[in-house]
Amino acid sequence: MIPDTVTNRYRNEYDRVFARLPGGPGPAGERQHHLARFMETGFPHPRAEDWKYTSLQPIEKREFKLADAAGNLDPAHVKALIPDSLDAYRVVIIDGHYVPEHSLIDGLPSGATVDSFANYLGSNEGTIQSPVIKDEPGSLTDLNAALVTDGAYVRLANNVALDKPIHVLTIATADQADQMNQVRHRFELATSAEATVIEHYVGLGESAYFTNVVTEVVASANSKLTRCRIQQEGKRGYHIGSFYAHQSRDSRIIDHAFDYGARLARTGTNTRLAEDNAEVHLYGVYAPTGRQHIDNHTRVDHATEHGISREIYKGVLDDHGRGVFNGKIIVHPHAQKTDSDQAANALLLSDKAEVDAKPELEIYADDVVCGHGSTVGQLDEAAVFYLKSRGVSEDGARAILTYSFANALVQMIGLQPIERFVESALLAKLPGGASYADLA
Amino acid sequence: MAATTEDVETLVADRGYAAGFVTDLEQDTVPPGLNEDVIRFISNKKNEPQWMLDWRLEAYRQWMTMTHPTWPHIHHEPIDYQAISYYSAPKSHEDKPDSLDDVDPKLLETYEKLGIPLKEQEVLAGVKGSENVAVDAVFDSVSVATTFKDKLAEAGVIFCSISEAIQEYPEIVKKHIGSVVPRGDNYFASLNSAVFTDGSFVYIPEGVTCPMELSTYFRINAENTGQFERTLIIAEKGSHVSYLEGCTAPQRDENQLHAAVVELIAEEDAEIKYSTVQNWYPGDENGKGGIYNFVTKRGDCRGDRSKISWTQVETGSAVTWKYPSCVLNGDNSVGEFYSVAVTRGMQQADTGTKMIHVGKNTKSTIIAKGISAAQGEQSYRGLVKVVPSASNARNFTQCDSLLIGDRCGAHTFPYVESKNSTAKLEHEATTSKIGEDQMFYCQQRGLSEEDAVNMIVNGFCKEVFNELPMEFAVEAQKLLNVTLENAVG
Repeated sequence: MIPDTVTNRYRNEYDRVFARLPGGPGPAGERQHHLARFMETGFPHPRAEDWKYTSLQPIEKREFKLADAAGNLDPAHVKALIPDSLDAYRVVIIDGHYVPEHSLIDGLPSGATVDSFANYLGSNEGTIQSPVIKDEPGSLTDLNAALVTDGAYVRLANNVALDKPIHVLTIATADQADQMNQVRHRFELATSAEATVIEHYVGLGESAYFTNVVTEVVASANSKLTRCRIQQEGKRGYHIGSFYAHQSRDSRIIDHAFDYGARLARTGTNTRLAEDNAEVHLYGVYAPTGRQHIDNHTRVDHATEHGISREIYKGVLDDHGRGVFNGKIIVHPHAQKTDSDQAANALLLSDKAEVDAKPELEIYADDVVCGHGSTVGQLDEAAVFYLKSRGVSEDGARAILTYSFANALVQMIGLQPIERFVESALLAKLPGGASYADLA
Repeated sequence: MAATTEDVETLVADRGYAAGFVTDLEQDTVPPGLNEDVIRFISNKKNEPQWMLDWRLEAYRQWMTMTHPTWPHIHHEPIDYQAISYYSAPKSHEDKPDSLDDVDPKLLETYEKLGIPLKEQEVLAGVKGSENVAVDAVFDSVSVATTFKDKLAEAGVIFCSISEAIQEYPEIVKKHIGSVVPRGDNYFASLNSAVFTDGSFVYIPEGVTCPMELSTYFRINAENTGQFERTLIIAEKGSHVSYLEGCTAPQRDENQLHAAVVELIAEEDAEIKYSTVQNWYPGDENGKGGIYNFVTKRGDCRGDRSKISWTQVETGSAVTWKYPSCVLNGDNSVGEFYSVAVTRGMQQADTGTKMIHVGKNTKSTIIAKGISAAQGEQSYRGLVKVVPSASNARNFTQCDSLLIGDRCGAHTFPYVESKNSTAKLEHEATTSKIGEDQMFYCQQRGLSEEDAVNMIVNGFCKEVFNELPMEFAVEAQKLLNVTLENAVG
């Protein structure tokens, strides 16, 4: 009799679904390896420095099961989730399964492949973890590797630039209680390829569920990836997102993250500037309200020379919301001429809200320019008063000012339908914000 | 009232301690190792009351359940706590060098550069027979100390060793010891609570402004405070005190591990300024030897409008682990932290501060300057915490790191935790090397490369040096130049 420990529950789940998991013998061996590692380490210990402010106990307590198939959604329902007038290729994953009927991957330029991750795993070259990405830390990433059912797979050949963004819509229907989605996306950009990807997470339904997603990016020389991550999980959803990127010389990754949903969300954004002159931009807005807990951990490894990193994270915290930001920049020995800048700003709108910020710099090279700044504060009362004197309600004034606090990051996206979408989603979260939706 | 040989022998017999002590009390040394008997021995030796012994034992029991912290960004060989002798009087006469000729020439060179008189050098290097010379000839600390004591007594200030205070003022000590840094606070604080051998005690009565800067400098020459120092400073309502700790000259010291605890208590309207210059032996270029310095320093701004200010210049030790902190309990209380830390050779430092805002309108300022050269590794680790009651709390933090050489490291780990929406917290940090344009400018004006570096580094640290008492600031500046010598090029 196997004792009912947290890790054993996931092992049992693995045994239950093993035969149906996608992938041939290669991936099967990988799965075993990752499962063994997960069994060994289990969920992160709350005493671990990286998990100081976020406890995964609510996830550990429950017994989550993978969904056997995608839940039924009518096309109109899916359409309602898509940002207005967004012209994009589309990959729709429902309950951890790719759904071709809702997806749209016709008319891709030659040299571009967009497929489901399961199909890719079934192919001869399929691997769960990209061989380029070596250091995937964390037991939750191991758990994902062991149980992954599906996701999006994108590969662009040399010099291929996509004419439209790819909208990867991951939906949790939460039809049954305690569902879990183990989703994995991989984006591989060959030399000088360019793409924009919108990773979009939506939760429906009222039951608790657990989405554990891993995204891997291989950015070859001179490639450029713009990624927007919009997290709108359901209010009883638990979201763990892990991002790992490997950047070759002259590559650029621009990441825009918007964390609005979930009961508890924790994202780890990790990028390695592995070759000279690579550049990464990480911009994030997080807005926990109610009793939400949103934790963003980022890590940039400057491994070689002339790397550039720019990072700005802004938090808007209301009610009992709790926000955590940890930004780690590591400048390795020999990573001379590194240029790195980071800012973390948080706006506390309520006395019950809490923010814990920790920018970290680890520097082992001397010819570098690195800086970070971090602020925590509230709305300027004089500005609120000014708006009120012009006839705007208290809530309205606060919504407008909060909106403008986050707006600087929204405008950096450069894709109007997405800008409007994330702005109105933010306003909808603020008291009085809905009446100013046309600001967006 | 020293313990007699019989006392200890009975103690040993009672406890059934087979290994026994070296009971020659003239030598005042126990064999290496730590257990309850050793703690009883220390307490007995110091003729402490029962409550003090109980307190130590409780700390020891807590320590036994704790593990060595692994979170600091430092690497060193594991420490064997059973290999340390927890009570040893000054080194025996035979171990001391006969004259300055026997002393490490590098150490002497440093003294020379700091402009320390020859006699004083002998004392610092621990040369035979130098103790008395030092007292009489160098700075005549007996008479200084005497005039000093008279003047303090007149003002009602108590300034003595903690052992003396336990005898003379047990009720004050009992009330306050461990009230800021509890016995079980952390691994090193617990160890210190169990085995502390000496340290300073300062009590400033209500409304008194201490007539002079208090310094351990005089005392330290008279008695060896040992490696587990415990300091307790109490500033009553409306009192002011400035306390200086340490000494700019590197001291010869065989003790590998230093685990000190400093507790400051500031009542209503009181102000404590605590300045440290730490220059323990840093080990050689290859990282051999050197002091492990694990210190817990914390101040409690207990009363409204109280203020505690920490200033530190850290240039010594192989490993430094130190976070002077302020708990801002009183409304409108103020906490400050100014620090310059230098690591070179194979030195490592993980240092910073904690500002815990509890009272309303509390303010804190943190200015930390780190300089890392050669293979030095340095981390700033700080916490600014605002609890829900701390309305209108305000913090400004600035940490800058300067890198000299391409094999050193500088790291920043600032934690910000805010639970109050009226709090305003700012943090900024920069890391860079000395600009080539700055160097070029200085050199084209005729300064040598080394002078240029010194000038730029001193400018970099100015904000902190400004907080030091004048004489100290001058010495600290000189010390910095010596420390960074040959670090460039």
